[in-house]
Amino acid sequence: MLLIEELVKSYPMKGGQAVKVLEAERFEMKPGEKVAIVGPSGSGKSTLLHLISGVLRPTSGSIQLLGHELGALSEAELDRFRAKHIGYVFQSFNLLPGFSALENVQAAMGFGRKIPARERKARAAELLGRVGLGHRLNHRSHQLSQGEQQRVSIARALANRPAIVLADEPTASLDGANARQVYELLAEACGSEGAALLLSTHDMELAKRLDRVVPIRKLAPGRREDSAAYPHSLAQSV
Amino acid sequence: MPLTRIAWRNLFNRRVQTLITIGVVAVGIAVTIAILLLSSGIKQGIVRASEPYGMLVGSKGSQAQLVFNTIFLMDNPLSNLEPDYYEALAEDERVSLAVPFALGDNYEGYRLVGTEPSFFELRARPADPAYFRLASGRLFEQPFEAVIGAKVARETGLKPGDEFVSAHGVTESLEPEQHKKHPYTVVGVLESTRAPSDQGIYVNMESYWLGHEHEEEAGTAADAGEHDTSEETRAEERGVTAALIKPKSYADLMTMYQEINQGKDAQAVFPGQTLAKIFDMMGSGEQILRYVAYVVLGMAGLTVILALYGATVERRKTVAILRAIGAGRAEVLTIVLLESAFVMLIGCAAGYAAGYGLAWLLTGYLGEHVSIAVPIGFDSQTLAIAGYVGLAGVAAGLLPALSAYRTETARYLNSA
Ligand SMILES: Nc1ncnc2c1ncn2[C@@H]1O[C@H](COP(=O)(O)OP(=O)(O)O)[C@@H](O)[C@H]1O
Ligand SMILES: [Mg+2]
Repeated sequence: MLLIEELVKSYPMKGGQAVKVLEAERFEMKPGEKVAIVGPSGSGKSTLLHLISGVLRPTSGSIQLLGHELGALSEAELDRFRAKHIGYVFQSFNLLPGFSALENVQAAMGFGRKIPARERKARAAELLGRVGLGHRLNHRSHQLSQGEQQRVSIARALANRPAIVLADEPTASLDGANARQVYELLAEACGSEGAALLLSTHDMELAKRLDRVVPIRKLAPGRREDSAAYPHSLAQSV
Repeated sequence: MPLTRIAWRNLFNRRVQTLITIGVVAVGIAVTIAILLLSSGIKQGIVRASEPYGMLVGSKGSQAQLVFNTIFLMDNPLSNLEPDYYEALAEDERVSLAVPFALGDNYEGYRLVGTEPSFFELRARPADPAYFRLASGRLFEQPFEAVIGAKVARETGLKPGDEFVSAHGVTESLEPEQHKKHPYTVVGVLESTRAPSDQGIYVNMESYWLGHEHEEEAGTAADAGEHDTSEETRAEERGVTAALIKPKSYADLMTMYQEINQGKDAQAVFPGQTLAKIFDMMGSGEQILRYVAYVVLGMAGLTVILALYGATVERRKTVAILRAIGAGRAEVLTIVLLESAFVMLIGCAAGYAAGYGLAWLLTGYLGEHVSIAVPIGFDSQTLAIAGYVGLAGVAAGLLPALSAYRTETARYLNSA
C-alpha cells in the first residue's frame, strides 16, 4: 500500500550547502497495518509524515501510495488525493479555532466533492460518538480539554474513510492517562474504519503496542556514520 | 463543508475584529453618502421652493438680497419699487400674472408679507395646482386680516379668529409702542409647503401700507423735520419690495427681462439663476465637505487593509490546517476572498442604509429649523460609491488571499 524508496529531504542552508534532514532507503506498509516510527526530537519524523501526506515534496526518491507515485501528481491532484485517502492527526491537535467539534469534523468533508449536508453531519456525529464525544458535539475547540480535542481530530482524520492515518506524535501533548486512552482510541478507530496507521512517537512504551516499531535511523542504515551533514541529534536516536 | 460556511465561521471566530471592520466601512460610506445626498438635496429643495415665484422684479441692488427677501423671507428688504413702476408692470400686455410682494414687520420673528389674493394663484408650472393652499379658514378680504404659513401656525399657536400685533423690523423685539398698532386677525392657515414660505404671514397690501403709515405718524411726531409727511413719502411707502411676474410666453419673459435690466429703475432676476450663482460660491465649502468624506472613506479603506493584513498571520495556521485536511490552494484562496467579500458586503449595505438614514434625519432637522424640504431621492452616485468601496475592499482582500494561497503548509503545522 505504501512504498518508500531512496527518499531524501534536504534543506538548502546559507552558504549554498544543503542539510539532509531525512533519508530513507526503503520503507513499506501493508493495508491496515499499524506502524510506529520512533526517534527523538529533530530526527525527521514530522518531515517523513509531511512527505507522505504530500504537503512537502521530497528532494529525491519515490513515495508510492495506493498505487500512485506521489511525485507524478500535480499539486492540485495531490490535494485531492490527500482529501480522499489520508487522515492527519497532529501533536498540537490543530483544530480549526472557533469551529465546534461537529464543524471541525465536517470541515474535512467535501473538499473536491459534494457531500449532502445531512449525510455529512450524520457521519461527523457518528465518528464523534465513536471517540466518546457524543455529548460534546457543539462545544467549540477551546471549550474542550486537550484529550477531547485530540479525540475530535481523530474523528476528523477518519471522516473521509481514508486508507491511511498519519499521526504525528498524537499523544505527546497529553498526560499519561489521557495519552494512553487517546492512543488506544486511535488504534481502535483506525482498525474499525479499515485504515492503516503510521504514527510517530518518541515513547517506546506506547510504540510497542502497535503491529511494528521502526526506529527512524534504521530507515537509512548504511549511511548513518558517513554523513557529517546530518543533524547531531540523529546520532543519539533510539 | 461548503467554503462559504468555513469563511463565515472564520469571520465569526474573529468577530470583534470583523465587527470593527464592518463598522468602519459602514461609517465611511454613510458619511460620504449623507453628504452627497444632502448637498444635492438642499440645492434641489431651494430651487424647488423658488419655482412658484416666477421672475422677480425689484429695485436695483443685490440680486441675492432680492431672492432672500422673497423666497427666504430673510434679510432687510431692498428699497421699494416705485408704485408707478409696479402699476406699469402689472398692466403690461405680456404679463399674465403680476403679484406684489412687500416684506415688512414681524410677529415673533415671522415676517409679514403684504400681497394680493393673486399670490395664492401662483404655481410652479402652469399645469400644477396652486402652490399656496389653505389648510383652514379663508383668504384675507380686507385690511388687517392675515393668512399665516403652516410653521407660523404650528409654532405660535395662532388659529383663525386669533389676533396679534406686529413688531417693526426684521427680528422679534419688544416694542413699547406695540399697543398703538392695529391688531391683525388671523383668517386662514396655509398648508405646509415645506419651504421658507411656511414662515410667512400674508396680509393684503392695504393693511401693509396702513400699518406703515400708522407707524410713520407715530415716528414723525417724535422727530418732525427729518421727514416730510408729504406726497413723496407716501409714494415711497406705497411701493412694493418686489413684483412676482408670470409672463404669457417664454419669449415675453426674455424680452421683459432684458428691458427691465437695461432700464434704470429696476432689476429683473430669475431666482434659479441667482441661486445657482450662490451655490457656486458655496461650492468650495461643499468641496471641502466632500474631501472630508473622502478622507473618512480613505481611512476606512486603510483600516480594512490593516485588519485583513493583520489577520493573515493568525490565518496562516488555519490555512495550513485546511490544506492538511484536503483543501487545495484555490479553495483557501476562495475562503479568504469570501471572508473579505462578506465583510464588505455587510459593511457597504449597512453604510448605504445608514447614509440614507443619516441624510433623512438631517433633512428632518433642516425642515424643522430652516423650513427647507430637502428631497432625498435615490441617487445612482450613492450606489456607485458603495459599489466602488465594496470592490476596493474585495481587491484589498486579494492581498491576504494571495498570502493564504502561498502559505507553506508544512511550516505551520507543527507550531502549537
Ligand atoms: N523548513 C526547514 N528548513 C530547514 N530545516 C528544517 C525545516 N523544517 C525542518 N527542518 C529541520 O529538519 C529536522 C527534522 O525536523 P522534524 O521532521 O520536525 O523532526 P521531528 O518531527 O522528528 O522532531 C530538524 O532538525 C529541523 O530543524
Ligand atoms: Mg515532529
